[in-house]
Amino acid sequence: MKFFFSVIWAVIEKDLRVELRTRESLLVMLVFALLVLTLFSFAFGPGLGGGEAPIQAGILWVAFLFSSVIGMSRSMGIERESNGFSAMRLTPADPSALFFGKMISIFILIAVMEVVGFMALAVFYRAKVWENLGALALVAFAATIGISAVGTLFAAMTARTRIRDVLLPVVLFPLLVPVLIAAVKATVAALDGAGWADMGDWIKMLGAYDLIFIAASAVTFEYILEE
Amino acid sequence: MGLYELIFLASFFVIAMIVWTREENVNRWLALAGVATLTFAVYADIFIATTARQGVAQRIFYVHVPSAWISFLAFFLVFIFSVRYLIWRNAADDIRAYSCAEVGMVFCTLVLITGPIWAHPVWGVWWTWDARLTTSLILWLIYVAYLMLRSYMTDQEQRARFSAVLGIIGFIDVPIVHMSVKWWRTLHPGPVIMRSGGMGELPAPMHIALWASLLAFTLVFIYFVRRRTALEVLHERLEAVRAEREG
Repeated sequence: MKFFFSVIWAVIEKDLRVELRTRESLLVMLVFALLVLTLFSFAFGPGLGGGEAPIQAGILWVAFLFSSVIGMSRSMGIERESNGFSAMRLTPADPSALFFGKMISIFILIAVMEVVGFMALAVFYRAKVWENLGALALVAFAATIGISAVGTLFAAMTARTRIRDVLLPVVLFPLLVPVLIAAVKATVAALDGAGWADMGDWIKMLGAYDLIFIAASAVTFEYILEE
Repeated sequence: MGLYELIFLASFFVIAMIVWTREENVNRWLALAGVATLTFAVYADIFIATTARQGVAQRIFYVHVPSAWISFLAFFLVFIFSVRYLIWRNAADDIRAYSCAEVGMVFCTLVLITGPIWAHPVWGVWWTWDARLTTSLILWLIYVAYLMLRSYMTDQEQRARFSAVLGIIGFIDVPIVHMSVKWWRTLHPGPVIMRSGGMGELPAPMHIALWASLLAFTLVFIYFVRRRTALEVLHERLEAVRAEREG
């Protein structure tokens, strides 16, 4: 068991070190998320802002999904280019430990991007982020776990196909529909300061999704690593 | 779980067995039975009275509902054969999963085409974001992803493994998608065939027509899958011979 956790930590540490040295993924993710937030403002017109929680939440999560896909495919692209998958297979580590390592490091990337995204939402769209910080953090946490669990599995998969990154959103987005719906609905409730009664069911749904797909992805990850 | 759910579940496995069996004669009988029930179903579907409220548009129901049933059945079979493949690594299971996905995709497309044709005169709109419509659309998109993933991979063994994983995760996802969209909003007419406590509000002749259509579509589906599987086996043999010749 101790070995299991040390493998997880080793993978996370390696990924974070690579990120700190190159600063490749996070920068692109941040810029991309800000860009999507800005583009929506142009698409909907300059009058947007204040009291439109459904639109704000929708914009936010679409931006987060797009930006997450970039982060995931970059993270797995690094593994492909440096033959990381082969190296992982050579270690005596449990494939699910490798999965959790990659998943958590991807989760950290997405979470950092989301913090900046929420700040941008507060500034650009005058969303009530500060007032409802706790509830929003809970929603973002539950949704991001689901996104990074399924995303890690399929990013590892599509990184090894012929057209690589292009395929990832096509495979991933239909599977993430429940996360998007629940995250948007819960974010709307949180932005309105509605409390647990209105967002509880959606948080529970996100929790159920997270548990099911962490289990399913951790079990099937070994079939992706094989050669 | 009621009696109807049990019968449904049992029929899933019976169908899986028929798809799986190698017996050559099965195809001939399937084709014969398929044509016979299809003829009966078409006859019944055309000559049974429609409901006054919906008029002739109601008849599309006999194509729409069986197609929806087949598209979910096919995805269930993709799941079964994907699990089998990952356990026993038998290439035949991968080919079966692929055939089910391809044929299922055709029926899922039929659902998405016949649905709006019916909805336009009855609901007044081509499309609404109702739970069942949306679930069918997402199912269709997962099918597309499955088939695209396969078409962009060349290594046979790796393709089989990857698509099996997608087949399993996708199948687990569909009920969750349905639930989340249902909470999101819903408008579709409620279940009229089976309600808890027995048969729903459909008049008896319509029941016969619908069950005949369901049976006919199922037989035709199994026949298609079996022929598609045989074709894929031949195709792979051809590829092997070609690879051997080129050395």
